[in-house]
Amino acid sequence: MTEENEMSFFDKLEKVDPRLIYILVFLIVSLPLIRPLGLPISMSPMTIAFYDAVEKVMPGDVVIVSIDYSAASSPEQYPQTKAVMHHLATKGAKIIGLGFWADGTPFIDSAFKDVLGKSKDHPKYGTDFVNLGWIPNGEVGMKALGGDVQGTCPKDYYGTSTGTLPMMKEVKTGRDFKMVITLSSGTPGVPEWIRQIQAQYGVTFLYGVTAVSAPGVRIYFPAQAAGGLEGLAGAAEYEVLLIKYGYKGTLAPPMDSQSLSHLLVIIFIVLGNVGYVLKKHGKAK
Amino acid sequence: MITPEIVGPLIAAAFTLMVYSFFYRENKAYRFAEHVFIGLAVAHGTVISSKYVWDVALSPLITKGEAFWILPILVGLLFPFFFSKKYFWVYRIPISIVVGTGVGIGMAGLIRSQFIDQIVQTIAPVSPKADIWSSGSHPINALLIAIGTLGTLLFFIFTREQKGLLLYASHIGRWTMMIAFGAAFGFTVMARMSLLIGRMQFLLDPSGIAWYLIPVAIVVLAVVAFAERSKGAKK
Repeated sequence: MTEENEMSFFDKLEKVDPRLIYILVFLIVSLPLIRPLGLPISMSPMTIAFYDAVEKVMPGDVVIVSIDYSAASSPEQYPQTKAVMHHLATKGAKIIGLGFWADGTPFIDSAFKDVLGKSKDHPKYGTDFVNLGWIPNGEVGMKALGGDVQGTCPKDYYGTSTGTLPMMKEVKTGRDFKMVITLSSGTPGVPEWIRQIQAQYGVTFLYGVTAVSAPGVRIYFPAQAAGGLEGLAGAAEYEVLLIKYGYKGTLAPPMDSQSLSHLLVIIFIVLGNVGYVLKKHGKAK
Repeated sequence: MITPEIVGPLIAAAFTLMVYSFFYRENKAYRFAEHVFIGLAVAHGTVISSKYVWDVALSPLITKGEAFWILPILVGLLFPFFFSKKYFWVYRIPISIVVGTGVGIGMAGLIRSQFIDQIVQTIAPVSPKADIWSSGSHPINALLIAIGTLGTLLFFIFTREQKGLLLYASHIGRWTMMIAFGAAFGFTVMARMSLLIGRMQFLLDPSGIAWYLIPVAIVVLAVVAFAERSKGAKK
């Protein structure tokens, strides 16, 4: 191939209809979902640390699971939520589901239904798990929750007085939390929980975040956050670790899609850079 | 038989495809889906905010006679003055209370958890036995953290001309930041792909009914594209 031909190829590539790239991305993402490839899933230290921290939970320990994301992040974070709830339920933890994002509140109820079969109609609702729903005002709400749980949440998500729920009689302040897990995609999220609860009460703190947020919160691991799930990959790794508890994950095919789509993006980046360098070189000549 | 289990996924699939129609071009179906989404989010937020105000403040005020709730309720009622040109200044009272409380509570925790604790972790003791892949205490990682942190801090010294040793140090800082931005970009790509994968998983689930709408969407798109092409050819 001559240099002129090479240049014309990259010139054509520069003017390609973006919709062709969209179609390519759709195909690359869809095919492994229809026919999974079974690519291996490697483990990150954050996920292993997350799993190990939950393993240390003893039956009866009070664990807060805070749903701090909206519907927009649910493809990444709802699988994290279900896996976390399943692991905690297996360990016999007393789970308090709540959230600081108004749009995320319905996911607490869905997660209980998906993992435990029922939510407020479950025979163990109120003794083994509760849904306190949404708490407004972000960080100020977290501070209030740590100071007075029942004052901040006088009623649960379904309108029942919190004080009448058996497991909540022992939960007064942040000192009664054994562990806090936030599944967060922004503000309020990880830094706010660390500031108002982890630092104040010395509670074991874990996070599950979207991949976008991961680089920003990794600075808290391992000193302030004992472990973390980062994006869909973190959830998939966690699902693999939970197989021994009979957890049936759904993220192996999506991880194939993830890997292939990344490969495609890398190819585009390499092509773009090679084209740029060749064009610059051609102009210089 | 039409049940919520059938109608729900079909509506969700239809809205997903309406949003993805934006990839072809901006259109009314996309706009409709966008407006419905925003409307639903606002409606949901309004309902659960109202419920919280009722549970926490109004209900104790009415049923138990806890009169002190009148004060925060009155402060809350000042928010709508945002829409008044004449009395906009009244709106500044509740907003100053909210901002002042938020900043005060945030700053108190921030100094310890995001300043002192982070410095303590940055200068944590080195341990040769630490895991090289996960611990900042491993000697190699500790060295990289020390070089990267110092270089980045020196990059932001603007009171001295960057030349000599300071220039080299700031170059290290710039490279450190570039690597960090690259990692952030990679994670962003991963997140965006995850969102697409989540929707495609929903649409292509063979046990669901959402995928019935995919051929419909393709036919609609083909008809629109063909009609537009014919219109263009006539012109």
